[in-house]
Amino acid sequence: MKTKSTKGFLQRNLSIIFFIAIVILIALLIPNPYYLGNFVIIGIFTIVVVGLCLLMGYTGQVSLGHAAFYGLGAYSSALLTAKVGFTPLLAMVIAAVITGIVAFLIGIATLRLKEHYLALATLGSGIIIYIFFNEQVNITGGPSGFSGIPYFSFGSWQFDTERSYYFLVWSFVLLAIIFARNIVSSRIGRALRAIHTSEIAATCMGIPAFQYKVQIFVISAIYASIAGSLYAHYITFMSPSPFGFQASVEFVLMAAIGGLASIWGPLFGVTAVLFLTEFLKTVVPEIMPSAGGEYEIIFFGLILVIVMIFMPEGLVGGIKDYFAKGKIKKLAIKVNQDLAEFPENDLPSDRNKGVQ
Amino acid sequence: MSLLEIENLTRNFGGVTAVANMSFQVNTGEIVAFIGPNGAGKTTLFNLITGLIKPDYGTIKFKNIDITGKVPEKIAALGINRTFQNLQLFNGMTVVENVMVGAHRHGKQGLLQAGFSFPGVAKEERFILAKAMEKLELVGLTDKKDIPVEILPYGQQRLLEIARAMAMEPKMLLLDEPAAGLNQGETDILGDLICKLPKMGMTILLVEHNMDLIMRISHHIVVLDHGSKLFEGNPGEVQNDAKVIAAYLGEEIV
Repeated sequence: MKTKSTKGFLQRNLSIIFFIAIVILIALLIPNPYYLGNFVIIGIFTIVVVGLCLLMGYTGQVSLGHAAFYGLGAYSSALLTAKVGFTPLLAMVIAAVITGIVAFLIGIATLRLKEHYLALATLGSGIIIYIFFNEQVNITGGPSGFSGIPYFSFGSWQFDTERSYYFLVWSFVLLAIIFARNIVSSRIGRALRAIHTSEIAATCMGIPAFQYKVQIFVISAIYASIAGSLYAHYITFMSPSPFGFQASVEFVLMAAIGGLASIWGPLFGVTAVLFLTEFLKTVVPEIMPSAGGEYEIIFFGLILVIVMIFMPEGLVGGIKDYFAKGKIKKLAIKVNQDLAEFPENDLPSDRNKGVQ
Repeated sequence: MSLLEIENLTRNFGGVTAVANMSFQVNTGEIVAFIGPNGAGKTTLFNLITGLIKPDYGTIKFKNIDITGKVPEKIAALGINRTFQNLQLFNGMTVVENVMVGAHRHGKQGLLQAGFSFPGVAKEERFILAKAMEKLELVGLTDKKDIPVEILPYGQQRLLEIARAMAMEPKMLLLDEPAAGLNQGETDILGDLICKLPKMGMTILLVEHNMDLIMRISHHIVVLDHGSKLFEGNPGEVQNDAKVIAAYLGEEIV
């Protein structure tokens, strides 16, 4: 009995174990702190994007303002540690609470909107918060920012090297993924997916759709906030530029490329986009020496269009689909064969659709 | 004892009166059918009862509680569930997952408990799964449980919607044209299933165009025309009423 349950545990958590192994392997294989630093950033962005996927991929609610929540977490942590003197861990928790409250207020105001309207409302909210970072010079230091933010620490344990920070961030990534996976596979996760496909039917099943949308919006903002706190204690310098509209768009891009309705997608989406950015930064100036910084967004747009056409479910979904297609086809054939055994059973078409 | 009391219910869409000053009562344990030509206001009536749209005037009482104008999830919580004329299954989910969404209200664990995987969560999940499997068994879809819902044949999708609605274990179930698009064999299975529901504690409201089915299974029939109640009575009375025959069943050619 015991061995059986151990085996079940291993099977259920195979991807988690695989993930931990890869994280450790990367740390062992990459001795150069600069490259390891890239993986710190990948980890931080992954946390944001996992939260965004819960909101966008599973619940179907678009946010074009997530960089603002990321920024709120970062600024709150930075200010509370550098100017008030809180410990980073306490500051991170308070930052998450502050961001959660802001997201709650934005959520109850905007989540009754649908699709494009919601996207625009979140975009607007994001821009308002970004302007706040820029203009409240006596609090945030304005565009020139402020420094003096301490490294992350647990008690006397300081994370002041690339390697230690790498492990810190990826531990958070692991927790973020497990938390998201637990939600998705629960009754709440099913309810969120139901809201995504038919909100009307979901509410008729007794699912409080609006309440759940607000809850998941707050959770995804808290994801962004925690990532922001980790960023602040890593960079130790704070200025508004990483929290603008372009960052929000990049988060959505990463989520879409990885696969919106996917827990592991964000890892691939973030990695792909960041490597692409680095690649463009070295290659484009050699081909077009006069090109400015804006070319990135052109390529991102192009890639998003290509991904949406050929892999609408993102990298992970696309690859899964490739393998699953045969399986589904076989299932469909089997179902139709079952039907064919009853000669009466010719499939009627949806002929009443649209009547009344 | 009357479970549902509707009084002077009225709903306009622009200049069109979809439901006009309608009153009727439904007794516990009955199968009540609503018939009438297209545009008579049958689906609008269902949408009003389930809270998807709000009435302009009138009251709806369920178990003596005024539910007029309440939001759908509050009404569902009191024990009303429905199916849809144009199927509203949750695509991208499997057959059993769809029914498990129907059993949503049997769970209590919230977002944070789920995220932190509290001990109660797994237990509750098993409970919901068992409820869902029980309903799948009733509609004969047990062996299809892991199939993506969108590749299920149309007739079985209709049955699945009923199973999903049953999973909530509602006191009252509204079926909006459950036999639409079904062949004769499937319609018979559906009829037998609906006949069993009152014994399981459900009162059934049924909108349907298939007269054979209605005459076979319903206890009480309400005939609607242009948003108003034209007639109500048992199947025998309805079949012999001149007004009903003229409006809906068609005049006999002599």
